[in-house]
Amino acid sequence: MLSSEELRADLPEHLSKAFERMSRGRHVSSDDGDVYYDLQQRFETYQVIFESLGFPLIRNARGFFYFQKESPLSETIEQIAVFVWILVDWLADSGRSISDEILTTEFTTADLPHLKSDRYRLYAERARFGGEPLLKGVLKNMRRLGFLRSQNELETFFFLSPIFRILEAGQAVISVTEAEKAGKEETAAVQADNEGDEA
Amino acid sequence: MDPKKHLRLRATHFDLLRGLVLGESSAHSSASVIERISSLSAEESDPKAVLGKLSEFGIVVRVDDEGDEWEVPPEIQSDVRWLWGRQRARSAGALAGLIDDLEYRVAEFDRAIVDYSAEIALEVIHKLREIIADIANFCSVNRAAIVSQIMQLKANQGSKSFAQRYRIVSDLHDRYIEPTKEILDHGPFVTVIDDLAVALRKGREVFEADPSIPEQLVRLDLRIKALSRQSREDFLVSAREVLPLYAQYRRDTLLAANAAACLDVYHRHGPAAFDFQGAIPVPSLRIEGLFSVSEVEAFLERIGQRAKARKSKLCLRDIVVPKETTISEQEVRHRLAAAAPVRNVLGWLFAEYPDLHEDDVLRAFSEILLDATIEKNLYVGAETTFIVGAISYRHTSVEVIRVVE
Repeated sequence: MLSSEELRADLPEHLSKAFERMSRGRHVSSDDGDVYYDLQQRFETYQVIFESLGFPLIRNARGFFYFQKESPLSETIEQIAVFVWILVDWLADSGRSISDEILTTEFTTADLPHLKSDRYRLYAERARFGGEPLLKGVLKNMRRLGFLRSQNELETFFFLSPIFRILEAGQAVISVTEAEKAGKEETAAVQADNEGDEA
Repeated sequence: MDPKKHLRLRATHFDLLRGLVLGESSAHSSASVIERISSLSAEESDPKAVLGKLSEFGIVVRVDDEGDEWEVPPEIQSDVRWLWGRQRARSAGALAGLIDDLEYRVAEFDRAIVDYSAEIALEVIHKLREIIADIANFCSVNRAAIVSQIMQLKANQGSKSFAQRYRIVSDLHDRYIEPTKEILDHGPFVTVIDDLAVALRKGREVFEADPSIPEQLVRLDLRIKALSRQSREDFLVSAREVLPLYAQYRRDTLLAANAAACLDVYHRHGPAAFDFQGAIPVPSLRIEGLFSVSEVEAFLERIGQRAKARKSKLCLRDIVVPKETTISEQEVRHRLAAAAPVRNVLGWLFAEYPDLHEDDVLRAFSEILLDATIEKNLYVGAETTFIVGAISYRHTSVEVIRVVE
């Protein structure tokens, strides 16, 4: 454990930049250059400082960093999650290896499957990105949060390693078990029937 | 007939022959054979000519002179089956069977030693040699078959769906790699090799005077040592081919299954069925200039000096000059009504009023708790922690469902 004197004597060079980026939800990866390398080299120091400020710093096994801190705004994450689920489903259906291709493929926005099939379009519309401008809005948010990078205004893009945070959340995002939901729906249906009978 | 051309044709069209031999029926119409030739080789411009060539070299023959059906002659069928068997890995059950045979023969050799029967001992030594050769052959053939299958899989990824490739690799993993590892590392193979080594040593002592048994036992011992070494090496090579691909395909299958399950739940129940915040919490502070390195330095200075002043509790609100010192109850109700449902109302208050001092935030929180017109869930027994600066608030989790206006 580093003492306060040790910390004070040698504060990390990119402390402020790291905080600014991660407090806005950005996942810092190798794409972030010096900030990333400093976090890697001096992770313990960053962690102690940020923890004392109430921002738990996480280093993912895949080598990216983020603050694990809730925000009341989950719509952005919902849209990103649905975007990623559609892409993974499409890659799997195409017989392509997800873990091989997700970080190595340069995806072309115009060729994305999200608005091309009826089924995917329904999901996208439900998540409120059922049109090209809105789809691009999701991509912009993903870029802002460090999930992808693009050199050409999102005409094409590469995913960055933090995308695995979404991929590997898996079914942990589902908060209600199927049994609970089925039970609740059945109870509501029975109640509605009873009320109808009484009327 | 030129034998080299004959064999070359068989090699070129091995996949076709395999399909004809291993299919459900042994007889195939001309149309069916021609269709197979076309599907196996998109570049083949004249499948009928290929059929003619195969017929000319006796690789396929008419079932009878009158009809339109073709078959592969029996002698070529058995070659195809033998070659195909060598291309595919056999399950570890076959290895377990050979080891059982070995155990039986070791026991038989022990009895020959006890009975001092050189005749039986020689007979058993011969059988032991055969079984050891079979085990060595099993391991080396399987190694070749597995390496070949994995190379084909990697070279022809486009021709098989992901599900097919996963099935092939997990079949290799479940039928061969895992059970063989068990047999070689922990199981009967180790035991029987040890027992055999002991039996051979005893045999050399007991049959010392025999003219041929000692030498045969020495050679057998060398074969066993070679088998022990080679079988492990063959297995390791096989495992190195299969395990990384198995792990990758398994991971991909899980990712795909998760995505499909989530899309299914999303379609049926919508976003309400998900806890995105809990599973993937992402902050989104929007206050500019919130962080100051000099304030961090000052904070560390104060910790070092153990300052007890209230300001020594470094807090974000100490860095930013508070713009408001009080908020009206009505204003909070109005914002809360617009945001409801809110899962963690204390956390929501701190995020909504970042410029406000903690005391005022906590005051607003207690007012919400006491306000009977705000529908809430108190998760008694389920405490949650919210950290602001160096202060950790541990409190009963409170969820606001709605605000009755």
